[in-house]
Parts: sequence; structure tokens; C-alpha cells
Amino acid sequence: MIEVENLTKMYGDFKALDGLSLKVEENDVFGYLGPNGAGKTTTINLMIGMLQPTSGSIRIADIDVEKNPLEVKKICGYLPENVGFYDHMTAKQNLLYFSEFYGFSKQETVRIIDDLFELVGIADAANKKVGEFSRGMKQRLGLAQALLNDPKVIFLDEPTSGLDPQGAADFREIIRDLKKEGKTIFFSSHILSEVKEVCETVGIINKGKLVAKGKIEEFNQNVTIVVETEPSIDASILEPFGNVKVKDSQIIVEAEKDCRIEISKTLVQKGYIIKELHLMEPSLEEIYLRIVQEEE
Amino acid sequence: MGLLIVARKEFADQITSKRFIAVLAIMLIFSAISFYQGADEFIRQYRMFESGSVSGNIPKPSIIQIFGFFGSAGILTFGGILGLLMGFDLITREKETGSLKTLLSHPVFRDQIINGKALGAFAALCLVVALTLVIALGILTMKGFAPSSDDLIAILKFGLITLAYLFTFFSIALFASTIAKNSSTSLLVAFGIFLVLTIAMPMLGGLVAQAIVGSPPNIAPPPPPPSPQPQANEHKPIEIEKSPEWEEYQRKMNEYWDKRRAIQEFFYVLSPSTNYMTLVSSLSERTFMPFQTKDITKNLVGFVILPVVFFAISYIKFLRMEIT
Repeated sequence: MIEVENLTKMYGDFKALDGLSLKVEENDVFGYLGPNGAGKTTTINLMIGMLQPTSGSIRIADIDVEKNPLEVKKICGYLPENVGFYDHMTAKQNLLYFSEFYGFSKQETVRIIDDLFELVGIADAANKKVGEFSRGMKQRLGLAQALLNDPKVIFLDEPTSGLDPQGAADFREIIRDLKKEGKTIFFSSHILSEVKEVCETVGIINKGKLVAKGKIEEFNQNVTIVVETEPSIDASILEPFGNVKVKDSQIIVEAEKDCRIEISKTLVQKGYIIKELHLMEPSLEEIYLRIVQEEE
Repeated sequence: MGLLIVARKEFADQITSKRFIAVLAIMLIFSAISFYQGADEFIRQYRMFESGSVSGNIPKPSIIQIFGFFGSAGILTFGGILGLLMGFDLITREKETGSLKTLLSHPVFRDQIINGKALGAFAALCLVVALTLVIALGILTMKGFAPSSDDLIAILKFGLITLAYLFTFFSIALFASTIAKNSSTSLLVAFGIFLVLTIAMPMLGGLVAQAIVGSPPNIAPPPPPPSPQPQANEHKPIEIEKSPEWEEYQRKMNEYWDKRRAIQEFFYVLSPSTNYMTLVSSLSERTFMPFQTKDITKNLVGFVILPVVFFAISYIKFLRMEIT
């Protein structure tokens, strides 16, 4: 659905993006991670046709963004970071204004807008001026404006920043529903737990370069298994499964794959009572930090 | 389509904005008072002319006199300020609030945005001028004067010149808004240009002319030629025989003042306010601008070029702007 090839963006002498290539499949929820200033927002701005690339190409649903930016905007929705509106207008007036660019009929527009207000949970504030909105409400309105044209592809730039925990949870729920509707979602965030919760594929960008991309589980090269028995086990019994370390009363096994069933069988056969046997996957944060540090 | 959508919103935003309404109200009150006084004087002169009680070659009073010097000066000052206030934050405010980014994520071209903004503001300025003219005509009607078709054409010309003048300052403000980083800087830049063009430029013309041409030639005028003795019963006009010294003196003085005027006029045509007053004054046969020349081509060209240049720069700058 999204194909980026050798994308470079220069701001004067500064290279914000350096030969970035990326593919996002249809109906994927793609998490785009990277430290501040890595080039996440620049990538999105280029994808939505807001900026002109210095070199390289972007195709969304087989449409060349540089040549047909308007066609791309018709099938995309965008929630920018720190989304802005016309503060002197009500939420409804803002959406009515943006919807005019799609040429919907008046009746259809009103129906779409009312449904979106219900979806994002600000129906009660539809006729309130946006200047009186809290940051969280603006963010919800931002999502509504991004969905105005029932887009195939949705770009979300740090969508939950500034939201309270309930708001963030609601947002994640909406993203899951959008995925069920067949939308492709490009999700930029620095909240790793959130990315892990809603995204299937992750790309990590650092200094304008894509340093890693893949399914989240593919990043887990090793697994760690924690074992505790009664009576305490001799660590050497677990050595066939991987590297073994003793930590207090627990044995930590670093294995290449999840082998809890095999460990369990061995311990039972040898007459140990299993007090604890669980898998410790590396967090996305650990994976992210490892990859970024390797690139530094 | 996008152009008209943006223009419609901008027009609505402009005419409902508190600062627009406030400055417009001040401008209209000031203009109405000036027009009221101007109308009294115009009707008095008109009735004297019609009754034939005016002697000599004094031309028929023009209806433009009701706008007079002070009426035009009111539009010149408050209208200029109104034009600036309408445009100084059109782009910067959208950048500051983030609404420009949201707008650009929808299917609209950038040129449609800037052209739509200009069109919306132009429509609002048309409303301003229409209100001004309606007030002027209302005062005339109230005083029992029915304008002829020639009068209405003259008023229409005044309206068009005023519209161009107001749009000049709007385009200056729009220019400031596209080059400045924020609205406060934009306001400073816009007012800076306003002051330079309306006050500094005409003064600069005089100073530069003085610096380049210097003081008038320091030569004493030759003694005037002897007056011929008038003969009785002779009604032929008296011809003064000019001496060569007198002609040489006049030639040098004319040369000096022509040079000085040429330099000053170069600066004057860069000043929208001077051009506006000159053009408005030229609509009336009895001009109210001192030392006005008959040829207003330069003023007309300067008057048209200035907004075009400012708008063209704003347009190019906006299209190339990196919105991050």
C-alpha cells in the first residue's frame, strides 16, 4: 500500500532523511519508531505530499505522491502531532470546512460528521468553539478530521501524546476497529508499549535512516526463561537448554527459542516441584534501545 | 473549487472579526464627518456655479470634493491600517495554531489557499468601499442633492482607487505574514513598511533631491524689462519683452526645479498614500493636492505595480514554504 524508495530530504545542509526505503502492506498497522529528530514527522509529511522530497519516490495505493498529491490526499487521512484547528470556529464548523474539499453533499457531510463525533467521543462538544477545547479533545477532533474522507491509509503522528490514560486506551481501541475495517495505518510514536499493543510491524528510524523493520516477534532473537523449583535445582540440569545463570533461588536460562515444555518435562521426571516457570521476552524498549545504540 | 471554498471562509472570517469591525467603524465615522462637511461645501459651490454667480474660468465643482482632503486622508490612514490588520497574520496565525498543516492534509493546492485568502480579503475590502460610498451618497441625498450619471461615474472611480489602495496595504501585510516567523514579527514588518511608504518615502524624496541637486542656483534675477507704455484705447494684451539675461535666468531655474521634481516624483510614485491622494485629487478639476502635476501616469503605474509585486512575492514564498 505504501512504497517508499530511496527517499532523501535535505533542509539546507541538513539531511533529514537519507535514502529511506520502506514498504507497508495493505491493512497493516505499522509502528514507526525513532528518537526525537530522527525524521519520523518528515517521512509522514513527505508521504502526505506536504513536503517535496530532495530525491526518491513515494507511492501510495500505486499513486505517485509527488506527481498527484491531491489524489493521494483524497485517499489518505492525517492526524498531525499537535493538530491545529480554527479556534474561533466550532468543532462542527471546522469539519464542515475541511469536508467541503471532498465535494460531499450537505446531507451526507452532516451524517458523516455526526458519526465521527460519536466515534471519537466528542458529540457533546460538537457545537463548542475549538479554542475552548482541551488538548485531549483537540486530539480526538484531529482523529475525526483524519477520518472525514473514509481514507484507505491513515497517518497518525504521535496520536496519543497529551491524552489521559482513558483517552489513550480509547484511541487504541479505535485503531483496532479501523484495522478491522481494512484500513492501513502508519503510526508514529515514541511510546513503545503502545506501539507493541496496536502494531504488527515496526520500523525503527535513526538519523534519517531506517535501521530495522519487521514483525515485532522477529526482533526477539533470544528468549529468557525463569525457573524456580522445590527443592532448589542443580543448574547443570538445565544446561542442555541454553546458557544458565543462577540468581538467588532462581535459574535464568537464555535459550534460542521458547522451550518451557521441555524444561517442564525434565523437571517433573527428576521429581522437582515447579514453583515458577515463565518466559521473559525482551521489551520493545530493550530491542529499540539495542538497535539504536548499535547504530550510534 | 478549492479557491472559492477558502475565499468564502476568509471573507466570513474577515467581516466577523472584532478588529475588522472596530477599525471599519472608526474609518466610517471619520469619513462620514468629513463627507458631511465636504458635502456642505460642494453643494454651496455647486449652487453658486449653477446660478452663474461665479466669475472667471473657475471649473464646475466636482462631486469628488465631498471626499475632500480630510475624507481621503481618513481613508488613507484608517483604510491603510485596516488593510494591514486584515492581512498581517493570515499565514503566521495558521502556522502558529497548526491549522495550515491540517488544512494542507486535505485535497487543496497551496495556490488555492493563498489566492483564496486574497480573494476573500478583496471581497471584504469591496464591502468596506461599498459602505463608504453608500454613506457618501446617503449624505448627499439627505442634503437634497441628486447626483448625475457623471457624478456617479466619478464616485465609482473614487471607489476603485480606494479599493486598490486598501488592497495595496493588505498585500503588504500578506507579504509580511509569509516572510515572518510569527504574527508579532509580521505586524512589526507590516507597520514598518507602512510607515516607510506613507511617511518616510515622500520625506526621503525631498532629502535625496536636495542631496543630489543641491540648493537652487545662487544667481540674482536680472532687472525686469521696462514695461511698455500703455496707449489709450488700445485693448491688445501687453507683451513683455524678455531680455536674454532674464531668459537665461529662467532657463537655469527651470532646469534646477525640473531635476528636483523628477527625483522627488520617483520617490512619490513608490508611496501608495501619495499616489492615492494624487489620483483622487485628479478626479476633480479643482484639485486639492498642492503642486499637483497634470500627468498622473507615473502615479497610476506605481499604484498598480506595488500591490502586484508584494502579492507576487507572497505567492512564490508561500508555494515554496517548508511546512514542518
